[in-house]
Amino acid sequence: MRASGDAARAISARVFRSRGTLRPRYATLGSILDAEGLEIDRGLGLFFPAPDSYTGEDVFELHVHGSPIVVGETLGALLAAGARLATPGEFTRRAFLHGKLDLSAAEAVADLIDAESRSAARAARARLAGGLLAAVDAERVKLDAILAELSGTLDFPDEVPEPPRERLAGELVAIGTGLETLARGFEVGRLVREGVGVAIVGPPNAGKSSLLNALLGDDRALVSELAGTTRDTIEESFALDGGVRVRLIDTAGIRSHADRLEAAGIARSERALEGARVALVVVDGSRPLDDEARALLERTRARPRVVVFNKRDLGDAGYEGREPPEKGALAVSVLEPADVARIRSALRDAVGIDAPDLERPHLATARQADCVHAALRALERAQRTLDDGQPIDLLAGDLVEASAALGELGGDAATEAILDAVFARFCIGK
Amino acid sequence: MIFDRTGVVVVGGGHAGVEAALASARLGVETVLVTGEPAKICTLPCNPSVGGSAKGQLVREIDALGGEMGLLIDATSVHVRWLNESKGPAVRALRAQADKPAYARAARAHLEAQPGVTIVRGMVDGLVASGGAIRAVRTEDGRSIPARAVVLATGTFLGGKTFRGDEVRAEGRFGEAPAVGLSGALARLGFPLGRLKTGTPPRIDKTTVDPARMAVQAPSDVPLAFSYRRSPAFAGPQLPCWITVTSARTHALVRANLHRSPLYGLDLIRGIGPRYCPSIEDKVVKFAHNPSHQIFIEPEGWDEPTLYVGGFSTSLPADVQLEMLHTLPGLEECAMLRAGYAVEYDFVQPTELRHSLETRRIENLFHCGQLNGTSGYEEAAAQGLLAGINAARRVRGERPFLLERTDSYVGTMIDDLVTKGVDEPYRMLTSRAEHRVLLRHDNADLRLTPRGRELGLIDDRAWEAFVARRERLERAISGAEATRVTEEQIAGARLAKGSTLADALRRPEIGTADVASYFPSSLENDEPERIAIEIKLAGYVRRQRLAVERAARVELEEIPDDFGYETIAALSREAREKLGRHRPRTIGAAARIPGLTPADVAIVSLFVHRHRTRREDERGREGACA
Repeated sequence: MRASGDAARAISARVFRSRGTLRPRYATLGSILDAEGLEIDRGLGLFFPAPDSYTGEDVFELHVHGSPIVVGETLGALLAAGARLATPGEFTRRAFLHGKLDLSAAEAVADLIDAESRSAARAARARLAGGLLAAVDAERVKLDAILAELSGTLDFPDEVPEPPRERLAGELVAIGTGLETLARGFEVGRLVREGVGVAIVGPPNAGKSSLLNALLGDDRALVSELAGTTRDTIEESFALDGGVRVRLIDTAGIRSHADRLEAAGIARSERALEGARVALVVVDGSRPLDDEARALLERTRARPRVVVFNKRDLGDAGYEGREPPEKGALAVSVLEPADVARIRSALRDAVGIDAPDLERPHLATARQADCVHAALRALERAQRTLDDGQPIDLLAGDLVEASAALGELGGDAATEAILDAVFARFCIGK
Repeated sequence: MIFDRTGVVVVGGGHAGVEAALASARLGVETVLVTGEPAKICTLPCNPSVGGSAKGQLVREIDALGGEMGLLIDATSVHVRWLNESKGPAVRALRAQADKPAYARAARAHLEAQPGVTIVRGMVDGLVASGGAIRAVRTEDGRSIPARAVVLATGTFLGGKTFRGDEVRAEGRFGEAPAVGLSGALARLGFPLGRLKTGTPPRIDKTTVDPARMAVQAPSDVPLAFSYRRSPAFAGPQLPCWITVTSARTHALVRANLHRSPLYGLDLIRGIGPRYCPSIEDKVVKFAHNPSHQIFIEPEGWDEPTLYVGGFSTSLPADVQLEMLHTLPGLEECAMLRAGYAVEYDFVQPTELRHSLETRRIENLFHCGQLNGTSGYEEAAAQGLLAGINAARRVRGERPFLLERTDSYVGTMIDDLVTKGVDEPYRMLTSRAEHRVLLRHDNADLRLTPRGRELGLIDDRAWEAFVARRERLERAISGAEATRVTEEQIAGARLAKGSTLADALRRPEIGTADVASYFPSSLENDEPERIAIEIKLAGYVRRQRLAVERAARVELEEIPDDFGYETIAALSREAREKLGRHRPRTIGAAARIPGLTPADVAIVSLFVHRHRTRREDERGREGACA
């Protein structure tokens, strides 16, 4: 936990007691005290005097045990000592205000914080290196060249001839194609950053929980309950061999025995499928398929999926007797490590993205994607203006807009709105 | 002469000075215009044309606000035509060629007829300021003219020097003495001076050219007018202009004589010239790949013996100029009546100014025209008008009159000048006006005449005519949505059954002439065209208005005048220095300061916000977080 501001030192004296005084930037073991002076926990205290801290202000940090109760009480003690809760992104905003970060660094930090997987971290770094900017600038340069020619003919009609409309149309198409490629790349970037949602769906007793545990395997230590997910699904995540992180959306984690109605089961799996790119359909393959299993296979047919006929060790009546045959279905036993590896590999195919895709520049944040989409929309309008036979001046207006949208992506036109968007991406406490 | 009732003193009798003096006097303030040579008021020392792309919009705006330029040119033009007619209604503009002596006579007559204006012959070389405010100007012959506000409109006269080859003269322009003392007076008040350069081409004897060897540019065969306050009428017989071209021979002469150029070879000129009006030397050197450049041959009046050689500005020695002229088709045997020359002059960075054109340094002192680093008659006149209005309002104790980027080219230009400064002579361009779909040549009256009326510059007659016109236009536009068109095909465009006049006009192929019979007969002059433009552009106008509203958020976020940039650690030293110097009025203006990064602007915005909310939120300095 971190407190920043002029009162950080005073607050530290109220909530933390150690044998010696706090030495700047050294971790000191001590007691964390509540408002009555009673010990909540033992932990580490660190004091960073201004300006040599993350925010550039006096900063006091407490490292406590992770129990929610201890965290909650410590927070209470800090608030009682005169602190208030930071607003989203406030620490970084303060760091920014004190000259600790420039805007692109702040955005990149936001991405690093969000990036759970190794690939996302790499993407964030690649973006800092400017690969994306170069790709965007390439299109912007082409746009600006057309604009320069149009401005020339508008402002110096005696000297600069009007460019032929067919040529302009061709150039606009080429720029549009480049921007669409970038926009598609955003989808890849988003999937890598946020993790690819994979919904585990299947009738009760198909072995979803065992499969989940088998897939998480060694990654089990990284498993966490993510905030913001709906109350009746649990998300856990692990990395595929290609480096892309998968978020497993599991409805099996919630078992309400009183609620065995088919409809409720369908509703749950529908909800899980909503946020997922890939369905991991698990049925019991040892027995002939029941109606629920058949219905599920039918419902998920149209989407990217991996179908697992589980409990191979117990029999194959369901797998052999499937009707119609499931292409690419796997007969497995989640107890067999080799079978689990086959499932992972099938998932990787179904996800269809590997981390190396990220080495090409791509749009990493929604704001960047918005900019490219705005540019594309302006470009479409320009094309329509041209197709409709409207005068070229009106074309220029749309192209200025497209160019400005791309400029904004590079940070050319930062406004309060952009800052708000950037800073709001910081979760409390990070 | 007794000057003690004088409110505003205007120094300079060019386009800026004339507009400033007229506006100030019309606002009821006793005004003195001081000029070195009253006979040379508004002599159009360079090209004979007024208007053109972007400049035409300026003239219309000046007229809509109650300024003079439109009336002057309409009364004296020998040639008028539309530019950019096919390129879009927002960039369409009038350009007229003036009869230079007639234009100057008209300007002087308007000044002399204006109650409250006194013209005084004199060269101002001293500025008297005390307590941070201007008090008087002093002339070379020792007179002191007290003033409650002063408008400097000195053109190219400040420290003026002209160049033809190695011949350097102290001149403000051809044959006229420069203002030598005034630069020093400005410097003593603390104004940093810069140096700019411009130039003018040679003039040739019109009886010695062969028009048959050149392409003709014909004037419009219907009368066209800049001013909203007069019905279009030909000022006199309309004359053609001609186009000829340079060739490899011309370029070879330029190259062979570059060593005699004061700019390239002799290195005499320090001032920076305009990219937008390059000399023929610049064209040949910098655009070496162009085998040929167009040259425009323009009359300077009905009875003037001279022709202006447009696009041929040069400071090479006179003998080379003549030789070069003789390489142009049609000019092989021409006689040169006056050689072209370059002129170098002092200017004061316009970042010294507020948007009212008052200097930040000295209260009640206003700068306009080429002194601010602009080039062009129209740019000067527009600034003169604003400076004159604001000087008079100062005297009357009223708030400054400000125009914005969203309402006019004038506002766009002034914002460019005071927030960005200039590094070359500034010319108005349509591409500088990001809201140009709204800021059209045709609708300047709708945008600005109500403002001019509020100011007190639009008389009752002009106002009543405007109000009637506005009503006619509004009625006709809504009427066009209801008027059925009976033809199924017009100008090659198929129309659905039941189409209205508006539907027809929305088709790019259909122009006003194709549907003339459907317009109400009450419409006058260019009004059918204006209605067609409104209808055709409606979608684009709507989009632009949205953009303006979005921009208004940052545009209107004001920065306190005394905002302390030096305390913001997050800003680079360079950014702090720039902001401290430019003192942007709003966050939007800050964003336009060259060299500031978006992050800098964002930081300023955050701090301005913080500055405002600080007192309410002292607790906001601590934060804790789990």
